[in-house]
Amino acid sequence: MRRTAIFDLHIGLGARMTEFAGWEMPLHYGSILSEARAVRSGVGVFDVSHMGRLLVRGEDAVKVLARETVNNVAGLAVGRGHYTLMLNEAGGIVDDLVLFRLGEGVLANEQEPTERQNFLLVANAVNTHRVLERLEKHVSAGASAEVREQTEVLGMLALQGPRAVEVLSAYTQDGDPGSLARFGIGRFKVGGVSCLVSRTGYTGEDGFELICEARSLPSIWNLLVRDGGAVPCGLGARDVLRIEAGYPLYGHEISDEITPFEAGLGWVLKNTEEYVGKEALRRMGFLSQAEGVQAALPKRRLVGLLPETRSVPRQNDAVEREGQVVGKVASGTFSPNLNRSLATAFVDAEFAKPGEELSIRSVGRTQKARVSALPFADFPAAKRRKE
Amino acid sequence: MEFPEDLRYSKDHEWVRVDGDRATIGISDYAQDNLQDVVFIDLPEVGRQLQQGDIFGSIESVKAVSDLISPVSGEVIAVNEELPDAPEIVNQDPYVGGWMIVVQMDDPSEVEELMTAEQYREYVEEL
Repeated sequence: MRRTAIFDLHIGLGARMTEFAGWEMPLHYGSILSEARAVRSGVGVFDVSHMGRLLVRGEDAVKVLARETVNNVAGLAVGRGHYTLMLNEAGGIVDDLVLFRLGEGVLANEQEPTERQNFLLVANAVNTHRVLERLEKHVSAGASAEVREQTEVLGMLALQGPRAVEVLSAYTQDGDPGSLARFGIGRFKVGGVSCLVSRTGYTGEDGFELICEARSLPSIWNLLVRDGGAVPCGLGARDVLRIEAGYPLYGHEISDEITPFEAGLGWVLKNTEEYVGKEALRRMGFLSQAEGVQAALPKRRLVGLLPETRSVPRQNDAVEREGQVVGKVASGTFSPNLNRSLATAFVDAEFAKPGEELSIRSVGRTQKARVSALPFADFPAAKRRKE
Repeated sequence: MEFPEDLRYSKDHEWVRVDGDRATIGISDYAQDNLQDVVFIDLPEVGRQLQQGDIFGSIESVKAVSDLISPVSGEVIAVNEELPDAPEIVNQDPYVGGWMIVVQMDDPSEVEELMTAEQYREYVEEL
């Protein structure tokens, strides 16, 4: 199994480790629920070095990314990022990604020449090789661009919560990361270490993601945890927080068999170029002739469900209406912040309205559940992800 | 991890506190530590007849669901009513506040089949 540069620090903190996409990662350091609370009330820090980091650069970089991803690559300014998707030819989702446009002063490595077409793509651990393969295939077909995986040489942390600005600013020597806009990215010296810092995250709270050379990761982690008082958080809390905030996870709310429209991600398709998967979406009637505008409505839709009891719905539990199966659960968890269990589910469009009364059939029990909009609550950053 | 000497333990990680022919049942420190963050507990009604090995309820953490398995046979004569609303008690205090049911045993000799604290400690060390 692969280990991140701060594996030993996790063990030292008493982490319970788990296998995730071939990586040995912290599941929690004692309590998933108290870690998830800490992020909403103070500040938490996650080792997210397992996420794939790919650099795409060269004069055709925009062209390659505009063919392979669905958001408006051409309109992405230097120092900004956006949430995007890679689709397959059938219009299903290969992965969801965050794409940053780097440039003068925000290069991944300061020694390298400055190029305007210089992008950083952050992929899910489980899909990094597939995303890399797609980009490499495109590049080898004759595009003037270079794709380099930097997952091993760079480490990545997420500092999340209402106190994230205060904590990171206290250890930043050359500027104020708090001045970054949501989805902005810049280079800062944190504890003397040069880091790419972006105002992004996967929790619905304000916060940052930091990328630095893997060998410097231990010192930054210790700075944030020991000196800054950030609560170490594992993948368990990360899952709770992303469900509360209504963010999709590959293999649950999104997959190769799910289109962006079913997953409520039609808003991401701002790319006016002919990207992979667009023709399939057009044939399915999801793109009107004007394009970029949703026409047909998907038969199944992703919704939130508020179960009646604290029992936690699990993936693939049946969602029923008067005994008839009308959908299935994508994710379930217990939310310590809302003090109730939560689920996301794909349900037939006619039952997808908030307030609909459905039921969830789990092993050994059936309980009522009410359809809710996503996110489940108005967390500070949960809605702004769409900008 | 604590395994009080005055209790007996099952391979399914339930503990039993015997008082005459009554058995109070809960889950061990090892079990609560493995589950972490208990969020839901489903317990039987008073009056339910249990055979040794019967599932008497379920316990859920954020990540997993486990059956609760009765280490003895008999009738459920009391249920901890606090647990449904405060399941975290099982994590905080598995041997006292976290008790789940009291069973009026049909055959108190069944307890002899269960592990002592020392045997149970050896058992979990090998898991």
